[in-house]
Amino acid sequence: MKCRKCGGRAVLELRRHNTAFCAEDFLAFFRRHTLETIRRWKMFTRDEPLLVAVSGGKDSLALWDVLLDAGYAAAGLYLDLGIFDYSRESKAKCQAFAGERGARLLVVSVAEEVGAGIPHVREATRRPTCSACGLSKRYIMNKTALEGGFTVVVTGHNLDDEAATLLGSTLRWDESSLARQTPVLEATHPKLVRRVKPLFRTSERETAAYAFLRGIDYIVAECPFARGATSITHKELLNRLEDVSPGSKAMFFLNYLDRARHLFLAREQADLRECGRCGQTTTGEVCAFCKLADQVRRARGSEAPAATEPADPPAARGLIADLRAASEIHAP
Amino acid sequence: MGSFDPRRPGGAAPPGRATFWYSLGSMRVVLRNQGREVEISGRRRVKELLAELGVLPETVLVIRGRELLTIDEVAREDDVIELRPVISGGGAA
Repeated sequence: MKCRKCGGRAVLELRRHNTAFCAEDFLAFFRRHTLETIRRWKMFTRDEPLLVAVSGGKDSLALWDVLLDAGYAAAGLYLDLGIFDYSRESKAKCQAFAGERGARLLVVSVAEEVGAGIPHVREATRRPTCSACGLSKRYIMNKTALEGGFTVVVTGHNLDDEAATLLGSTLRWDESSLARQTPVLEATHPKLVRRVKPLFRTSERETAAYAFLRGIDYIVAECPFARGATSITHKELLNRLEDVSPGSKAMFFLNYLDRARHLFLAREQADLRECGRCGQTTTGEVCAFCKLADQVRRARGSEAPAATEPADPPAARGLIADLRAASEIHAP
Repeated sequence: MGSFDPRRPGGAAPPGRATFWYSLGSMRVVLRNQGREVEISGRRRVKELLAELGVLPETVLVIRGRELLTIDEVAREDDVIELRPVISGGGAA
């Protein structure tokens, strides 16, 4: 297979674009595609201070790499979820990446904010892990950006993430989720920071290839909680469609944005106010994050925020041990 | 041979990390993080290799040494091929 640009040996075929590139031309294509998305969707300007949420995975580090190379003022934010070796390894990769590039990296501990790390939150609240984790991430990202004077939060969500989320919302006909799914979440309240997803038109195979070809040392092991997650099943289903009909994922999500999202948006009228406890935005009196943190504190038998590595409640010890063991399978 | 699970990431493990293998012949197909190896005798195109293992091309990077292979490349008998899954995630952030 030959590179479409230079005719040299191709290293990656992009079936949905009916093309292939050599390493150098693919990297240029990836950068151009990402920067064009930022411009076309008016995500942010070169003058704005950006906070890039980095997990140590391929997507967020590839995106941070592109932004830094393009000269954006992009600081990283790593959220330490407290997931044993998985978190330790992913944090180390983010710190190494930032160190090599002289970039600023903020590290925030979920345990300090919520009262316990994610494995313990699951036990304390019985809420699905990915749901509690997502809620905590969104809250902390917004709060950290507000406090640090960042005007935009940038996340590494890719086309596969977005298409899988859309499939899940559609299967449930969750009108509220459908209305909220967009690559640019505007700041509709003074306490909300704009949140954008510059990789929403890029497949995760492309971001993995970019990270590999750039020599980015990312964490390949998946989060131990993601195993068996419904969103992964949705991704697998979409990849089967993509195999038979290249471009299906892009058509599904991008055409939703163009042709259908406005139908749901008209019904979504969120009346945002400030949480009576923390001052962040909510549609009720107390925000979902404060309620989550209350649940955690009650379950752990203390009103005071727990330490970074709190003791496990008796009922949780078996599961926590299992998760710790699962997390350590791939440890160096 | 164990069944192949494309959502389990492989590769990127630093030297010295535990490595496991699928086994079928002399070409070695490696998933470092998954704990499997396939050995396959004879040359074949990457596309055929993936089909044989039941792996969708969209779900992996095919790596030989420090290079990526497209689906029409030929993997040789003495090659060590890494299939690195690209699917990640669980919850939305």
